[in-house]
Amino acid sequence: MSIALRELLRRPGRFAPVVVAMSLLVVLLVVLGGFLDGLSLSQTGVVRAHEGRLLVVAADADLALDRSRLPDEARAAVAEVDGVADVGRLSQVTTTARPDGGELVDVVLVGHDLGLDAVPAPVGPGTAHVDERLGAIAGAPADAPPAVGPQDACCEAVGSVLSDVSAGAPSVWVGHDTWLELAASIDPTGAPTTQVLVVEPAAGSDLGALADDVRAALAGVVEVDVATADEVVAADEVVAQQSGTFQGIIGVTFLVTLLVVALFFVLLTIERVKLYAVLKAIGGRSPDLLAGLAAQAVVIALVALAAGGLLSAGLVALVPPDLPVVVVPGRLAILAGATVATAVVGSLLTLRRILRVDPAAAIG
Amino acid sequence: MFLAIAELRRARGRFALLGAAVGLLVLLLLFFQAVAGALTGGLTGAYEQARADVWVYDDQARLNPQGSVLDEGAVDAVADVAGVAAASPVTFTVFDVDGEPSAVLATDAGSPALPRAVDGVLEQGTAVAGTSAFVEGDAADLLALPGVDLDVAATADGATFAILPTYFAPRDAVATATSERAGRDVPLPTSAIAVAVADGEDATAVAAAISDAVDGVEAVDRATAIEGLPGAGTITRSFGILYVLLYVVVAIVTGVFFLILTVQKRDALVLLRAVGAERGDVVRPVLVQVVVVVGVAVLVGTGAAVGLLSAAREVFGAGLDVGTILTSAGAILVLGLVAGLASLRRVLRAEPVEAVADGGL
Repeated sequence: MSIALRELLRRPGRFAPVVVAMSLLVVLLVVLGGFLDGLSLSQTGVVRAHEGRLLVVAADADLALDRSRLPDEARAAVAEVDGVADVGRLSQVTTTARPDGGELVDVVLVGHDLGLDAVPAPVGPGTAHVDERLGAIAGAPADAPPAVGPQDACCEAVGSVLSDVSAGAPSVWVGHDTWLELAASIDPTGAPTTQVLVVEPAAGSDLGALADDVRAALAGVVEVDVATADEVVAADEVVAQQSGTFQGIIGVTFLVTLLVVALFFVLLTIERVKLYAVLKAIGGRSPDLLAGLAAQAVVIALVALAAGGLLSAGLVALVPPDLPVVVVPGRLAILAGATVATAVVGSLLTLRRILRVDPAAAIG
Repeated sequence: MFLAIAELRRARGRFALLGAAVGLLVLLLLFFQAVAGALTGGLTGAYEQARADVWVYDDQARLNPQGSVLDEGAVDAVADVAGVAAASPVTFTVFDVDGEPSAVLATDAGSPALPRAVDGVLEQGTAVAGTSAFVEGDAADLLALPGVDLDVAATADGATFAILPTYFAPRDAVATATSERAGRDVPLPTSAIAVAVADGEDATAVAAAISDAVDGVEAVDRATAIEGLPGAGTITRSFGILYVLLYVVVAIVTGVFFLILTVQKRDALVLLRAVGAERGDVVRPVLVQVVVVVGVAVLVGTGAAVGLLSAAREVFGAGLDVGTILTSAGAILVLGLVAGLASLRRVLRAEPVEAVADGGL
């Protein structure tokens, strides 16, 4: 193995081509992973912001928040349930905003009552917490009033929220009563009403039992599903379909990486058949030779990961902020591990050629 | 030529590995194009299939029909602009149909917003369904809206909006359903105006004239309207990044392979030159190998992509058109040849005299 590693140090140029090819494949994998996570996270931010709470959704909406419509009396009925610390309304609608001095951009207007870790409670009528990216996307100052909806009707920006809580577009969070007024002007045909109730459980409450109690309390009012944020995200068919497609594409990209590495090591092995024969003639075993190739593959993969990672960081920085690319450390770790494993497997596809090397060939 | 083919036969494994890598990249590229095409088609099909040459929105709507609300007099004002043959109001709304959210486009009989394939079919009490293989759910025979049932009189393939099952319905029926759903009288607003321009008129010029003549509206030609629909531009640009990366990877992988192969064959190339082979004699085999390996890979990758997409037809619809396949295949073949230039440079640098120089053959 030490011979293999010393060869890498002594003749790095020989390995440069495969490093370049693998680096580009790493860039492709990182960008694909970025789209996979970006699409998923950007569409589910409003729901994920409510982790640890229960979401009450009309049963005929199939856990799709924007299709759910709940009657006004549902909130009071849920508030009476034992184990409910607080209950608030949550609704969203897609519209446009023109932050003062900027371009018109698509936004998701979210109405809510309860404060969250990521979004403070509404300050009052006519105020909003605005996605931190909105100013950059619209080309306006970060604290510019968002001017939401067809009449530029709202609001004074009183704070920003992380873009992590977006829902397919930058989000603007307002009090739910303000949302109802704005939604009526945004979609006059929609007759806006509360879409979802958010239940803050009392300390120590069992979420499963609480969900059953909430469902029972609403039995005479409206038929509902009560779910956690994770369950609502998992039920999103669009997100599931996108994830499946991108994971398939990432899988094929790994197959390409495997073939490229295998191709390179096959060429390298052909070139070194005589040297391997000499090594075998003086006592080297096939497993030692294969271990050397695997070690070289690991180093090549690590260098490609470093170079590809840097290139990806540059590329992602150049991507316009309205494109859904989010690089998640956990995803990077998985891609890195899989890239190293793929490189090792690719290098070991030379197994047959290594085993066929005859020590006698060393003396002609 | 003989040498090129002989080497391809002798080192089948090596060339097969390169061919498989390039073939998979072709498969990925075509698959991306099919996914992007199906996604944008599901979003914009209703516009692509419509007879309308120009679309008019509220100038605050950012070309988003679902965010646009036009004043009542806008339709008449647009109809009066020179070059406009027909102008018809359209309301974009969403109803639950058979438990699935469905886009409902409320318009008039004879509206330019109706799909060309079913122009004139929209009568009172009927609806037209826009279908797409990519959009889940089959078109219902009966469009059951709140308080109104409409017979689906015709279907228009590909005429979908917002990746939802789509229906074109008469405005009075949708107005009734909207009020029924709201539980009170709700006026049906106009989201957009579909405009057919008069024969011989330029759609872009008519759109500009409408924007100038009518306050508070933004009029654009069909192509601009399609590009401006929410999500369409994002999909195009996102997949554009992936296409570029894939083309670069194809070029690098092909270039690197032939470069290594050339370096390994250097002694043989010097020998060939020493026994009288011209530069062209040693360059041609490399070019032949690039064309054969990349060409076969493109054919196999394309075949696999077409097969896969046919098997998943219910997800991706028609998938790919011949023009897209030919353009992509041609681009990859050209890129393969360009990538092979580095190895050609090495081949051309092999001098006959090296065979007898110190350290030569």
